[in-house]
Amino acid sequence: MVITKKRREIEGIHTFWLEPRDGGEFHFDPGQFNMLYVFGAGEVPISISGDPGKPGRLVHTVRAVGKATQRLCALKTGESLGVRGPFGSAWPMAQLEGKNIVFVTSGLGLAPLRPAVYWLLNHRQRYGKATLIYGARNPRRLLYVDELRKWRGRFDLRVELAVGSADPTWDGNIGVVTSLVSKTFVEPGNTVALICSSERMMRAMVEQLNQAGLNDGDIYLSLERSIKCGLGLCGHCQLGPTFICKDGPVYRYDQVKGLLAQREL
Amino acid sequence: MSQEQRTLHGHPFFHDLEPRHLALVAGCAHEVSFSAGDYLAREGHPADHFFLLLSGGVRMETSAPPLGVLGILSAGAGEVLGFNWIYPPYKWSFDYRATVDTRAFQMDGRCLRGEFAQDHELGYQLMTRFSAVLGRNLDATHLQILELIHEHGTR
Repeated sequence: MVITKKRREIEGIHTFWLEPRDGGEFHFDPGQFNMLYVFGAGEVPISISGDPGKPGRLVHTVRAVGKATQRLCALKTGESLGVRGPFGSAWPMAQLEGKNIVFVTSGLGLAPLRPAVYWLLNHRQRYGKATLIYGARNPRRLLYVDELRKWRGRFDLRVELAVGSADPTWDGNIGVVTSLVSKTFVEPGNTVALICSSERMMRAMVEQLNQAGLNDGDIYLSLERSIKCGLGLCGHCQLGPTFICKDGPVYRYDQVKGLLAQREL
Repeated sequence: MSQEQRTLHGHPFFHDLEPRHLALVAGCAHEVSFSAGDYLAREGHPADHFFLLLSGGVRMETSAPPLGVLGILSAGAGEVLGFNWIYPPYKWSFDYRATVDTRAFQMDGRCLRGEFAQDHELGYQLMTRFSAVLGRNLDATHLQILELIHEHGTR
């Protein structure tokens, strides 16, 4: 695919808009990922972060972490990269119709969740109340700031932000994102949470959601492991009996609860 | 029950405190209000009290050159602010500034320590509550440190 647009989100993190050279469409479900191949540098699994309602443009937000992602982030508009996918399970948006949805995420975790937010907004009348709870280290580390501003202006999506520290120009919450779960009214019974963050932070998020009255079966999360093949063959991403590239990355929490806190499997 | 005791009882920090203890803490409380921008407490100053926020919002801040003034925690109605009154040297570790007009109960720490000496059960009740708040704050701080490590460790 060819890069038709590139934007620096924050230091070390870039968003790429990709289009097939033949002008075709790329259909995916929210939460799925692609294997992106940078010629001569290798292949990496990256969540799709664009709007599933706009299959003409594939969007990925990438953090420069290792050799392949650093090369990827150095690519410019007009250059090409290989795309294999989409792979993996998805946020079960169709199953969740009629429910209140609360998205809880921090840092780059918003990227895999963003397609689910788009989906909800594209089919807004099918869902109950919607809340996005998002945290970052400081205001400069918030992703998709223009979009967050637009979403905050809507009457049908509540957006709550928290940062770890801020100068006096920031008039929002300061603290860890999990504290917002207890401060934000979450209506148990008909509410489902979709969460994405580092694994330890997600365990803390689950604890707060449980205290708010959500059961483990009402919580979905996206896991990250070393994914290599994307097909469930190589075993790099194996977590106990499950392969994250094939059975995940999205799981219902009660399906993986026993696997997450274990040091050795 | 006086109006002051009823308001204290309505605050989450004291909502399940026995009436006799509520009467004792009410004797150490007085309601205060702050305009946006006012400081409730300043770093290094004597910490003889803590605050139960009734409305508004407060930010915990510090001067962190070369970054300037940094907010590191925000709090609102229903929350409790200030722990330095519990232990020597009884000095505030941070600045606390009202970000909007704010009402609070200012709880006199010296008065409370005196009550604790007479009524150890009251001391136990309050220290249990403060331990829970401190524990949550400590957990939150550890999570933030882990996020930093996660972000830098994968670079």
